[in-house]
Amino acid sequence: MESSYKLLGDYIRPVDIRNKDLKISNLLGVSIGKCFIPSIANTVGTDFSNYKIVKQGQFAYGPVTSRNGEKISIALLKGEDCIISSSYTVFEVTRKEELDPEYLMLWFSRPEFDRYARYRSHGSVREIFDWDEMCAVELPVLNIEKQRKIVKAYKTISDRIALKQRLNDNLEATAQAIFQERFASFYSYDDLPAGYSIVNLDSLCTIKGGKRLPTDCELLDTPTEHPYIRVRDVGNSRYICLTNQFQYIDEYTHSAISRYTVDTNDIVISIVGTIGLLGKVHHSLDKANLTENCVKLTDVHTITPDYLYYTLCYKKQIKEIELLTVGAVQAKLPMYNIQSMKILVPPAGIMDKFQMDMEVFNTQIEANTIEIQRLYDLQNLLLAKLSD
Amino acid sequence: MAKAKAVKEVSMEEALWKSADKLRGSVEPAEYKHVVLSLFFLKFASDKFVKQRNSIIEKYGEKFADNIAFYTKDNVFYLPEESRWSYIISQAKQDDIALKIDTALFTIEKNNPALKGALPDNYYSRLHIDTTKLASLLDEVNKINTDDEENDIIGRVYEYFLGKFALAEGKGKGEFYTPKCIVNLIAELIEPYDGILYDPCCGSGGMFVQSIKFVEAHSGNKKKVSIYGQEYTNTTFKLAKMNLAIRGISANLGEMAANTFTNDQHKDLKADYIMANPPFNQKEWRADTELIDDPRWNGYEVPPTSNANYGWILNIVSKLSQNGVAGFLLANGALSDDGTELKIRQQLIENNLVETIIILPRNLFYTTDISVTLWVLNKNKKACDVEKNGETVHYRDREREILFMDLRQMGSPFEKKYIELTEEDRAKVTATYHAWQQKGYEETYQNIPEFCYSASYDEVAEKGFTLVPSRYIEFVNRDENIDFDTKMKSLQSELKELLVEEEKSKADLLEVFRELGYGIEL
Repeated sequence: MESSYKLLGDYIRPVDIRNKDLKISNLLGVSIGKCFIPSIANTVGTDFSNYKIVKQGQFAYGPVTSRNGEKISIALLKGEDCIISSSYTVFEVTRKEELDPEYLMLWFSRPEFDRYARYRSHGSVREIFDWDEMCAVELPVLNIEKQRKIVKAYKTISDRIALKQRLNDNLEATAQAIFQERFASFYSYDDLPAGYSIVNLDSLCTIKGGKRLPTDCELLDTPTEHPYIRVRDVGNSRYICLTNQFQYIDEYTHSAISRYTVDTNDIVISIVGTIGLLGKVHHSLDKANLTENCVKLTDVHTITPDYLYYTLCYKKQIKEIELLTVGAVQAKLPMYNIQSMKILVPPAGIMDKFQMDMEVFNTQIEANTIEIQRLYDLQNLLLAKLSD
Repeated sequence: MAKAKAVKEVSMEEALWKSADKLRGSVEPAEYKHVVLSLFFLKFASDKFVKQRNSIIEKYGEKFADNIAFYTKDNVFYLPEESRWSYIISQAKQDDIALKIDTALFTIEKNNPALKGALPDNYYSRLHIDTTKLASLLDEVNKINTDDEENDIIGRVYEYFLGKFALAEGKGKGEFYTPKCIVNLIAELIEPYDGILYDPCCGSGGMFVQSIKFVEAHSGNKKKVSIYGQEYTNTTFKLAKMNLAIRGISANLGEMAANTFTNDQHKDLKADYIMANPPFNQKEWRADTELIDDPRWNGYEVPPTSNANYGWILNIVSKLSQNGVAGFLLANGALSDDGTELKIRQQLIENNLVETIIILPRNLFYTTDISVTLWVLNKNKKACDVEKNGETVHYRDREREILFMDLRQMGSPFEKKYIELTEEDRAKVTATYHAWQQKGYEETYQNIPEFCYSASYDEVAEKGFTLVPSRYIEFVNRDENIDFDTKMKSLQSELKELLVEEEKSKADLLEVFRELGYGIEL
């Protein structure tokens, strides 16, 4: 490694203060998303006096890195002081004027650091990244001003992502409100006005399932021509678009399941596990492969894909989609229930007017979604750039 | 829409499993493999017998058909009438079929010293299986074509059954069937072409079978290899005997099933090759005062009672001949244990025994997902020329060196849940190892980050005699190789487009709100 690289051990020291007088009750844990999260452990009868106290500005990490999604759980506490399980190691930066803690956290946030931590972890059942290994980490310790600048740049991008996200949430809510104002009441009519009808979903589009990976085929992390849409890729925003979280399949696997792909503007619904997640396929995922845990609604006619999307969101909001599920161990939304879902078809003129009114919402939400993705790319690039 | 159901091919293992499953209720599931494998043995031995008999008749005529010597010379068991499969099948529907099977097995064992103690004794009569169930099982076994030597039928059946029960049974007992790809890797590394091969904890004999296959595959002579083994669990010991007998491999597994530490069956053995997968991290393997002066620990500290790992290592070291090589698996913890273990490890390194430490990927075993270490110890790391399977190999002096390898990123998915080391993976590992061992290695071997590193004694000493490969093998930070400029430029143009679009769309949005009657003032 390069000469600006310094040993982390020279800048940090372990901290071990126990919650002896039970002063703190804020119990947190550290996630693989590298942040503190509320603990979900069953704490009935737990003695919290042996828990470790983490103060604001200190770090905590879980030394066991095996069976942890190939990641190390490590985070910097930004909120108020908390307690965590004593299995975590807590430490702090001693020379804060030379190494900025937030800059250090950026270094830990790199996917390459996960790989490094896994590589240097050792043991049989539990593979451990111990304190000595943490101290042996080498990182570029730049001039402190430069570090702070990088942190600030990163934060500016994060803020913009959050802003765009909030903007999108609001736009989505507004659009939904407009849809409901115009159409929701028709579902309670006994006699529909002329020109309106309620029909089964399968008379408006083709509904098709996705496909499981063939035995012995696996998902790849390195991009190929064929992204594979999983349930976790659906429902984050209206548009399902290509992100760096995607996994791929190779040409050979693709040839086996090539009939199960999606086209731009298809609507995808998750049917197993987390049910009823909805998304519209962005053109960056045209011809991507679809998991067996989702169905796609394609060849939409008579109504527009956007109208259909809003209708499904409404159905989800009134819990109709959840009600349609069956399954004992794992809930499942059967194909038949999707096919027979009742959809209001308004007269063509009203449909066109709605589509036009919604156009600006649709484009803006799409643009924001894409910008958010690009901003994430930019952040990742900034992180990678730290090694330079 | 009704679809034509594809006809699914039922594999032999599956068919056997299904018929064994019929025994449910009358036999403990853990017993299935014994029930099936003994019948299987009978069928196999019988088929071989018939084949031999036919060839004897063809060559020498009818009158030698029952001359036992003509069978034993080719490692085939001579079977009297009541032990033959054809006889058993003809009696399958009889009420006393269980007794007939027992008699058949007993007769084979009595007439063949190699099988002494290997076959179950009055097993079927005592099981009290429903005759019809037994008959259908016999029927299923009868369908198996044992001629298929290519595919190692008995191994497959055994593996399948063990796999099926691995979770329920293997784990509790701490028995781990060593996956074929690991045994192959060990064989390919230590190349047991001729001499004595020993496994101090041989289980069902899988290591032996695989290494004999290795010798045959490389057109070596399997008669040049003599096999010694020991196994503690009695039922497994029997399986091993059957397993080897069926394949015509003669082996010395000791007088009986016995503990390698307290009742060593091969006290003065010096083996040229040792392959083993000993039980990991055995606690309380000896009492505090037991085995203190055992000659196997000579020159080393006494391995602690808390963990048998180093007991196994020293047992292996003590049994290596002058040029002996050992390849065995151990828990990763053994690479970096402190205390007594550290002292023993340091001594092993100072005695120039440790040749290669290879860390294997997770999920290779049926019953556990842990990653394990493959150790190769070599008694003679000096420069020498050795004849191996007809070719002369020129070894260089590697006394003060250790080769570390990390295979954690290798392997391909296998049966969904598991990983296996493919032939290419193993070829890469063995080629690296053999290149490193031999003269001219400056040309043929090089350290590769995240894969291999040749460490000197001084480096190992400096790191406190830890043998953890990732402490030596270099890690590459892939971020350093990212083309920042290109990526940044493409993001620059994309974001520019987005921001321009945003301006326009913002104006449109304000217009929409105004039209809806909720104009936004900025």
